[in-house]
Amino acid sequence: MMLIPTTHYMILSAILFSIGIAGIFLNRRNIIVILMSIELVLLAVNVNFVAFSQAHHDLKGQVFTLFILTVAAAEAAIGLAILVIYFRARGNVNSQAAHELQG
Amino acid sequence: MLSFLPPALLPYAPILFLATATLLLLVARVVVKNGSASLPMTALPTSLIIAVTIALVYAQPFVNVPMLTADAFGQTFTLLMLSAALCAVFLSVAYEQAEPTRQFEFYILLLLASVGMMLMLSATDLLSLYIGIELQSLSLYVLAALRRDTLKSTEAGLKYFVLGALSSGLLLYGISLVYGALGTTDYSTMVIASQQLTAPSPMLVVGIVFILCGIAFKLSAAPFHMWTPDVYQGAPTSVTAFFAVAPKVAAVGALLRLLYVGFAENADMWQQIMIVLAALSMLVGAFGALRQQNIKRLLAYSSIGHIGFMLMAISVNKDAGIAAVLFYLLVYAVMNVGAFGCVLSMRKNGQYVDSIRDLAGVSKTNPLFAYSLAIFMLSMAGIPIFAGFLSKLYVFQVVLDAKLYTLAVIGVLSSVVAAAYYLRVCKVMFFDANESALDASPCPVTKTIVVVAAVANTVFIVYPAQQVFAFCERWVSTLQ
Repeated sequence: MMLIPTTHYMILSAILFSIGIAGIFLNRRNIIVILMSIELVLLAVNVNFVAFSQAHHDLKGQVFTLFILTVAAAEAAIGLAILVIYFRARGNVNSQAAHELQG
Repeated sequence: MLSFLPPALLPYAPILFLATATLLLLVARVVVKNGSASLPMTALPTSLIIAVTIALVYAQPFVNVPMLTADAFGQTFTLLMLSAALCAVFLSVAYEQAEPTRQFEFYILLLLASVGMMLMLSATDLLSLYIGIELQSLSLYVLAALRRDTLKSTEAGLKYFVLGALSSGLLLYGISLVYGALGTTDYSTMVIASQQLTAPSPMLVVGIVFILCGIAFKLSAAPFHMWTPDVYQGAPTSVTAFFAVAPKVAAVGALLRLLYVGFAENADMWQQIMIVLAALSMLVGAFGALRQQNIKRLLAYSSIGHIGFMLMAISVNKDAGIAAVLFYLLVYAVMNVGAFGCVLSMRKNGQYVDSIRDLAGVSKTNPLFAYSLAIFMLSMAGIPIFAGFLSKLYVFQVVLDAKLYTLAVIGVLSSVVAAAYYLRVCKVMFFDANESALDASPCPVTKTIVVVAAVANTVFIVYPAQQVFAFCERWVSTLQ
């Protein structure tokens, strides 16, 4: 089996993380896309944890990953629930239209 | 009292009790359907549950178990946090009577957030810290969006969720890098691993920066404060009163333990970041509030400024800094509980109002309200004889001892600017022409809390200041 060095995983994870962050800040249209970007950020972190866990021969990183997956599911559920009530009040999920609170 | 528990569970006893009781209360409220009587039926058991938890925390033996610890440091912060939550429950009663949302979820979510905050305050591992922060945040997102029929509240919830989830992402990425650099997430082994590092590790530095960015979001420290004014304004006022104190106490406590215990060996890395965060928060808090017309937004910027002062004390990296932070937090909690009690008594013709213009001339029609709010504003501005002056003085003393002169100058200048908007509220209340009177507050609970907080702020310098100061000094050594 050919071993892939840990740095490669770190680069992959950094790219995924940057795409996720860019998706949140550059997104001009839809709030659903922001939720997808948040998931991407959390999955990038998981790649890091599993890679480091393997590199350190320590199981804790993988345990951490399981916790992150669980919390991410809860977070997505709550995010979608808030999005649904926002849609009911506003009539769309346009991120530009969320300017009721300003000053 | 708790001898029936196996020793391994002892430090968890208060958290276990709070979590179990919350779930039982949730089940009870779902089973017992009684819409009209819903409010006292939930507020009363909620305050009882918090009171019992406070007693359990007080009686708790000090033990360490993996992931969590029960020590005097965590105990003090937990007691302060739970008292703030209890005040928020009391303050919510009047609001719920006036604008019945019939949502008992407020109390359940408040209790669940308290469970999360207790975890944060006793966490000695990045994993338990993360779980605590998430449990707290997920409850707070829903609380902000509690009035789900109004656009403002749902928008506040949405903004809080998006930025909060982003900050959790930053925090986690930082934790993963620290794990990669040190091979552990436990605070005490992190210290040993940092000592054994042969070369400076850029991965560790980047990890610490990301973790601090994530926590700064939760603390609403500038430049990560964008959500604060929107959420404070949009959320129902009873929820804002809770947001303003308890989560701040929990985040400051968790940050202190993380920096002074977990990253004790890496002080040179985090000290610079804390100095920048402190300076920016104080400036944003001072200048951002100047043009605000809404009292809730004004208090949001004020809390950003206060967080700046606490971060300034944390950044000195000395025991005296921790004592100053605790002292500041105590005073901050009393000031904010009182100020939000005032905001919750601002009603005209049966409607809640939150514009500063609505306060015009209330010193003639509602003198008790006007004098109390004036005391809180002067205290927050740091005018002598009020409690806020002593807490600022203590912080400046510590910072000057640590020779951080630039930071101290920024702090003094921003507190001068901040005094302008605090005094503007007083000027509107006492010197502007009267438009219409505020309704007389119907709720004796709110009135009592406001008056007690106002009196405490005024006499603090005479009576408990010395004792509290001595307690803070003694207590510092309990953080290990």
